[in-house]
Amino acid sequence: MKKSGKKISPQLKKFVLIPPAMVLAMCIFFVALFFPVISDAVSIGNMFLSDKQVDYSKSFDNIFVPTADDSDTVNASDIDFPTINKQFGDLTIKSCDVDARLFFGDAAIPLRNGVGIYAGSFIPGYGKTILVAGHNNTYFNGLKNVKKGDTVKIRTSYGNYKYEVTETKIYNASSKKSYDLDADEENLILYTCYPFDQVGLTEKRFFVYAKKVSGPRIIGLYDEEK
Amino acid sequence: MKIFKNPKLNTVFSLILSFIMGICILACSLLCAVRFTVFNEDFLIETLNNTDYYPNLCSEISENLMDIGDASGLNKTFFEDFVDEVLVRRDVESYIYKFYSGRELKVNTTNFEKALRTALNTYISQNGIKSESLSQKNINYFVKEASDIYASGIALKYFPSIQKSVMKYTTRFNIFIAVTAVVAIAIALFFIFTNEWKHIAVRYIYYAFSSAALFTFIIPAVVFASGIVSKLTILTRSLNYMYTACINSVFTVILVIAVVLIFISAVLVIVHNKLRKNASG
Repeated sequence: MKKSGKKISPQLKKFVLIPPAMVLAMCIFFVALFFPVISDAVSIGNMFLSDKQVDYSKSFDNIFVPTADDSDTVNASDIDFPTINKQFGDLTIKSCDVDARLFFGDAAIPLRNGVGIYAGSFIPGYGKTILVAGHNNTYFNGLKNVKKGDTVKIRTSYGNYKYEVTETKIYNASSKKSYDLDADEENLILYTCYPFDQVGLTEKRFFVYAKKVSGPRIIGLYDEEK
Repeated sequence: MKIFKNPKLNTVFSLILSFIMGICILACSLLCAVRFTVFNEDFLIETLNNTDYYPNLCSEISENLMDIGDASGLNKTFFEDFVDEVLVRRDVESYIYKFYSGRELKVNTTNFEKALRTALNTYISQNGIKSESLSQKNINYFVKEASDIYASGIALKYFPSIQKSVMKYTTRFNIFIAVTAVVAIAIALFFIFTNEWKHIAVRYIYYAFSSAALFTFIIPAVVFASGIVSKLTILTRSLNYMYTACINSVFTVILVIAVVLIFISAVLVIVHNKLRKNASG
């Protein structure tokens, strides 16, 4: 059977086929040459790549939905645990006009918009230390009027908590005596810069210590509670 | 070309030489693209000027300063229009010059500190702030922290860690570019002078150029088509603008080089056909 159509000249074949073949050979050559560094380069490159579009906005997520539930316990599996920079509650001390959104984390976004729990401490209900920071010229300015016996209220989506102020103290910012994150009982510590109403940054901190009065205990956190 | 008695061996040898020449052209092209973009301070300065880097950087520094202003008893308005884009531009350019000249990458905050102290004094007198609310120690602490924030905004992240490598490779790059160009030219001359039929020499040179052109074209084509640059995750919006713009510019330059190589390849095809016609005529 005779083949129909125009025959491609061997000259043209050379012009069209040899360059891609050479590119293939170049690829093999470069892969062989740079093989030891390719996986490292890919790993480093992946560190700077994300599947999601990066969000540079300074807005924050709010997962706080007030609840009227007054149970003594709440199961950990029922809690939408906050992540950094999320508002998950509010904190009020009526006696000294403190009323602020409560965030998890105490970096720029929380302190710009309210007060924040130090991420190395615990959220209410854990039975451990809750360390809350705020600026003394904004949301924690009212702490200058706080007194022993005042009530601090924290509302979260999983329960409402009350704490009673036991004492206030002033420490240097670098002092390690001001809080104990390993404490075995739930205690609330609020702190801010001291003295109040100063222009400039201060080296001292004003601490407010409070003990838990009421609020649900989080259960199902550890194996022994399962 | 009659290096070997067997004509097939001669063809294989010519193809190998053509392949080496292609690698040299490719390496020379890519090295040139990198040398005149990433390793060139004017390129970086121009790229920053052509993007929204400076307005974004100013607003980021302002936001960070407002946070420290919150902690220092200052109104939000204090830092609103405080960061001067002209000063930021000058300090960033000075940082880039230091980077490429191998000097210590330290941001000079003298002008910023001076402007901050002046603005602070005006603020204190305008707001009638009492002396009991003022302590030189606290103000100095605030100015130092604010200057650190400014310096950290000006400093280009990841640059200090690559400065030594850039300094080391700038000289090496020039040598590599020269070596690859010389080797490519030498092979081209070898083809021309060892081939009785010049169109055959031109054909082997074409193989080298066209393969280099194809490879050079594929790299930016894959990068742009995959949209990988938009997935870049860097600390801040301004830095993201900068790195994205730089990477896009580098690949655009590579694409331009590819187009030039494709054009040279096309010219070589025309020359080849003419020489071949002359030879057969």
